[in-house]
Amino acid sequence: MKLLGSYGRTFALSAGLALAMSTAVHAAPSETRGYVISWFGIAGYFGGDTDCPDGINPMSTEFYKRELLRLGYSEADATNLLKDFPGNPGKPDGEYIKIMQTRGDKKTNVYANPESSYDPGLKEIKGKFGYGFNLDGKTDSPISFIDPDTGEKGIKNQYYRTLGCVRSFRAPPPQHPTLAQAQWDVLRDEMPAWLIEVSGITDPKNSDNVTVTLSRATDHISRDSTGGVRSDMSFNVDPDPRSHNVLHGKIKDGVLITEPTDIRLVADPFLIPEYHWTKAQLKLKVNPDGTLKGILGGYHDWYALYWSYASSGWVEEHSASLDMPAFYYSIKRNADANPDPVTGENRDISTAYEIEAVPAFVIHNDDKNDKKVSDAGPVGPQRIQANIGGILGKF
Amino acid sequence: MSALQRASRRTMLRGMLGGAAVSVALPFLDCFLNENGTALAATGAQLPVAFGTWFWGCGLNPGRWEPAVVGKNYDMNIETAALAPYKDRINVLSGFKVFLDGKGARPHFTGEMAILTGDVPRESPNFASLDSIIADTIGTRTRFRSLEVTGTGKPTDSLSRRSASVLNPAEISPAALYTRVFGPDFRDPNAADFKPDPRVMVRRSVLSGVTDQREALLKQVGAADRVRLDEYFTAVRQLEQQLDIQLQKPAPLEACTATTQPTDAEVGTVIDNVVANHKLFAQILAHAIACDQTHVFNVVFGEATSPLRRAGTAMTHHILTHEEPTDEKLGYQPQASYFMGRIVESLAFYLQTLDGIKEGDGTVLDRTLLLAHSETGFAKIHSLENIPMFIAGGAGGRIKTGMHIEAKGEPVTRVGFTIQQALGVPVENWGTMSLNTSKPISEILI
Amino acid sequence: MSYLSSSARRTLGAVGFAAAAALAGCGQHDDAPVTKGGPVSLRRLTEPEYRQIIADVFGTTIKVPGRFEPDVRDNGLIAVGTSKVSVAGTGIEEYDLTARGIAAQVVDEVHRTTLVPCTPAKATQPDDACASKFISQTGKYLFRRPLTQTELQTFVKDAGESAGKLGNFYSGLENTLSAMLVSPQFLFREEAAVPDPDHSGQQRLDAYSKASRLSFFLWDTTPDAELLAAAEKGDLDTKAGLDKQVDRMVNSPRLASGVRAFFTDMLGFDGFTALAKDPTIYPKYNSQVAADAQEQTLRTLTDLLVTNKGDYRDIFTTRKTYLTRLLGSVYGVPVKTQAGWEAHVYDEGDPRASILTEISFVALHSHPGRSSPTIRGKAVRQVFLCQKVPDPPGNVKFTMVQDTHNPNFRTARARLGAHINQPTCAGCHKIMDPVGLAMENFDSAGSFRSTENDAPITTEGEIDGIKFGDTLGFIKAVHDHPQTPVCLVNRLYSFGVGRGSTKDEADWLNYQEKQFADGGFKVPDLMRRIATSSAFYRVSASAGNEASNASFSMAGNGNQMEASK
Repeated sequence: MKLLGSYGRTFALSAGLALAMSTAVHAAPSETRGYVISWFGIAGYFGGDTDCPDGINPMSTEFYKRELLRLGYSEADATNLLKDFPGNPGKPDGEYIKIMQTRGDKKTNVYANPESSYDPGLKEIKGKFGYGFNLDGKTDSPISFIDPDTGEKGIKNQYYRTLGCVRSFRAPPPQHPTLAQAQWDVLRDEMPAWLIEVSGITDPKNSDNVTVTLSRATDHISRDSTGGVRSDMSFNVDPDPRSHNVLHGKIKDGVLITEPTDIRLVADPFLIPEYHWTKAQLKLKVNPDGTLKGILGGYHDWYALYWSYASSGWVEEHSASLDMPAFYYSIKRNADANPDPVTGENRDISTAYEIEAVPAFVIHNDDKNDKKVSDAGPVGPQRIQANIGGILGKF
Repeated sequence: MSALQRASRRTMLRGMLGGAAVSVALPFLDCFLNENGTALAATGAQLPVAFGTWFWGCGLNPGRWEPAVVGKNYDMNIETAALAPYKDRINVLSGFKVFLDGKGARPHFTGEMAILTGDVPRESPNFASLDSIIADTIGTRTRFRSLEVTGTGKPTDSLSRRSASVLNPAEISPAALYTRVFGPDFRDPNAADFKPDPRVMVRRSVLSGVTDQREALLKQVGAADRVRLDEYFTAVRQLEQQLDIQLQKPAPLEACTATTQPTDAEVGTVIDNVVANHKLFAQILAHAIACDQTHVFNVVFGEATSPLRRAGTAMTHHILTHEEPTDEKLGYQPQASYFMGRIVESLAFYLQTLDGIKEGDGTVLDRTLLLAHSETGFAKIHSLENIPMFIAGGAGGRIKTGMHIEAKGEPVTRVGFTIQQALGVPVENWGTMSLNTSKPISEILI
Repeated sequence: MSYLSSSARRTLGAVGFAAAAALAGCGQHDDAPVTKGGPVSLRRLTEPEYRQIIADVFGTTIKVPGRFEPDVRDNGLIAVGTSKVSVAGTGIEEYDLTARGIAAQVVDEVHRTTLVPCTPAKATQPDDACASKFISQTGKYLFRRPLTQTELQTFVKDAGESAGKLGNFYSGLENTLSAMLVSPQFLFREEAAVPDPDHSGQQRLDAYSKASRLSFFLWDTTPDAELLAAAEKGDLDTKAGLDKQVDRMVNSPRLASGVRAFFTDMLGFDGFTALAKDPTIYPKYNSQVAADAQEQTLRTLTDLLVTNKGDYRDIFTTRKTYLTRLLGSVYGVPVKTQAGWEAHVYDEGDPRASILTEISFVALHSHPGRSSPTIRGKAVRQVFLCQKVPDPPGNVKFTMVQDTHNPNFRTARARLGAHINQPTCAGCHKIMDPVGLAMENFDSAGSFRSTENDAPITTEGEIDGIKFGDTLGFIKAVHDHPQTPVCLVNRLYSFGVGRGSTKDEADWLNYQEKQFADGGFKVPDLMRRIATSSAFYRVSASAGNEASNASFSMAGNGNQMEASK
């Protein structure tokens, strides 16, 4: 029995049965299940500090001091400049900020022009384990990880390798890393939500012809009384095709994996304006309580990822303790795909993101009147060479 | 204050509004003067007695709160161990019961009605509550006739009744209580200068215009409604009195120190929040007594059906008392008893707070008489026997403390009757039917 | 727009009570049995009424600050409790605070241009003429009748003195208005009886008292200008005049306000203010859900009963309701409308039909951490069938109850089995539990579930001899129960007169019940019949307090519900 109204793919209620949403119930054939993403963050394996034999990267107070000393300030002066850390930009207690902004060559903005600085050498992940997919099919390349849960070899996640030893990106599960948690928490209340629809499940353990749609809603999530994401909420799908991804996959032994394809998601400048992964896949599992958990992995333009943090300049750098030039050099070096035809340098880096989702009603509008025209030209930020001078405010 | 005094005061206020000077020195309210007419606080003479009730629902575990020793030199039993530091200033009262005289007993209602109104109502309460009777004697001269608070979030949790039909609603928020008592209308007794606020004078004056119509309005309504209308006018007179007091320079009180507005814990039934808010209430009420804003207070720690619960659990204290099985080894219901422990600790905190405000050689607790009581002797079966009751505080020397009084099935009303006598209420007997008593607990009286 | 700002442009009639012009005939307006009437009432305004009156008289931009002395429920209705309560000292403090807050806004620079009908000669000095105009006009709406000479003089004098003292005309008005809002003439709905010229020796309400009863009954607010004018002219004492006003008011969209006020009272929605749900067990429930839930039920009711003039009994079986997205998340229903309400019709056979399965009923009558068939069963009987369930006895010997070592009965039905199987308990629990168990698929927050602790929930039971196999059977049983419409007629009448009915009114109520049934159980028609009946306005000085044979609970649904589990 279908619900009334001009709904597209929505929940079908079978007579007399309990609602499927929050309790595990067998799906009827060709039923579509809807979800809204409640967590999205970099997928990292944190098995303890053996992942980072070179150590954890220093806090921003430490590397700012290091840089001030390198620039020729005395111990006393450096200490004095940082005494009111973090201080305020433009105020006497934030004088060090201006210095840090141009610490490469003393005139160029180091966030927009990281190559004006030397490579401080970001400490990176050297452990065996990591989450993600075998994006290039090679099981024995030196950059491969082993999936700690399945034992699968050849996992590519160079992004994790790059950032995994930065303190604010680390957390023992089930906690989420502080930076990601803070970012996502702020975002959730304003950024239009991301929706997942799964259809074609004939058998929850094994199905051959499953379709997964990943799209954007017109509304942000709603909270419940615990501060978590409210489940069973209704969302309208944003008709903008920029965020409309149809993936195909199979369920094997209860785990849904989709075939590699492009995935695009419009996000938020606070996170990144837009994601665009290539050779991207989803791996999802339905929990007994009806929620989803899984991984999204794929190659991404590494500069866009760098810029998603660096565009906030000092604000991001000091609060996340993410040394931006170090980050730049590291992520560039770790890029592992899509070589530039001229320079031969890799433009993309392998990534993996954790996804959690709760059940939701996904509503499609049938009328096409408000179809958005997407921007012409390439997706993603241009590589900005000019001197920005100052901080581009995300805040 | 006689009618003549009232009338002359009103006329004077009206006259003032007619154009006289603002800062006319008004006569000192005589309640602060002793027989010689000298200010009490200034000479260090006796400060007024205060009375309060402290109520919780679902009782305690029989056998675990009654002291083993009867009379003096008793020791606190396990469940009331938290009260041990004050045992010399507490009388434990066990073995008192409610007589039903064939009337139905309503769980979580009849017990407290009997203790506080001396009566077992068939439907709705029939009388004013004990604190109200006492306020008629000791609470007529303060800004607030009494102050009521509740920890479980509903203004109707209050057990203080002005009359059969008038319930004094309880404050649910410490911050709101603070604003009410120490907010913009508070006159600091220790403030150096004092000028009567002309806006208050105006308010006082127009309010007289309302009460002046009392006779005419009462004539227009039927007998039963006359009572209710009169109760309304009584309430308005209380407001008038508050304004009168605001227009008077208060006597300085050393113990009345400055306090800051608290921030509430979330108002509700989660025990940690109830305990936290109770602490705030305790502090504000103690200061209210020290600053002579009231002489009577009523604390409902949790209302009679004890909806207290731990965050994240389905079970309330009340449900546990009925459904939790008795632990074979322990001999009581452990989860239900957890709440009893928190309740007794909070009572101890209350006493500690009163005791924490020094006044001359003593403390606020020394001049307070506190009746702490529940409504059942054993919540599991809604028993009306052996209801836990405690009297705490010095009552300004009007009672003896430090005893365990064990009654053998005596009516609970003996307690309320004794308290009334101790505080000077002219009463010869109290209570209805089998609850009527004329026998005070003589061990307690001086 | 407010009554005041609209009437500012009109000149109103003379001060004083209008003489009733009795026309030919006995004055009996219908064929109903004649009644002797109940006592004249003195009813304290409820908080919603207070707020509505301020909004109507001064406009919706006036904020009503402060707290209110709690309303009290009696005989199933707060409306009846209004005849029993007075005001405590704390209550007057609160009314005074609220009154000052309102008065300050009314005379402030923004509002005085619309709400004060004249300007003083000098703003820094008294102006008796202007004060008099404001006070008499405002007073008429606040006191629900023209002020007496004494009242007017007193208030004008006070306004002048205050203005003089404070050097500001508007401060004078402010203080006087504040006093008026604390006056018993405002806070209490005073009624006056006059000799009935058509029945020598008997009495009826005077015209303004009639207007008051009528207005609060149909619109839950103070009489508007047209109704006051009709009272003044004596129209309300004639059948034609009364019918005209009643028709105007019943046909107005404002009838929905009266219906909403009635059901808000009858359904005990005041219980929501103290309702708590454990967020870790029911994360979906919050105060917005509670607010939406009440609105949902009120919309369901007004849509069915007022807009569509439907059969009252259908509220128990209706599949049509109104939802917001937030409610949709609790019920598990997709809602297309992003913000706001949309109609939703459940499929045939969906157990989520009926107002009885809505959050406003099942969540209201549950514990913070779990449902309660006993409380729900009791509520069905007390609220909808006007049946009184006796209180549990004191000192029950629970030693008979087995002290089970495995307390984990998985479903409520299993847990309550102990009640049903003990003779002392069974008597009352047999009345409550089977009724409440019919709704066990709905948890404490109102969400549907088919199992509890992995055990299946079954909803079969019986109510007053009617057996049912599931929730749908249950709601039909309530729909068909003969007491259902009878209870409504009684409640509605009590709501209107502010008291329980007298023995003398039994025949008249039977007549109304029959009319209600014959007419298809339409609520607006019932309200019209009551509002145009003589019985509604008949008063008897001798009736005294016979009308009140009520249980007087202190806290709405709170204390006693909890006590009885």
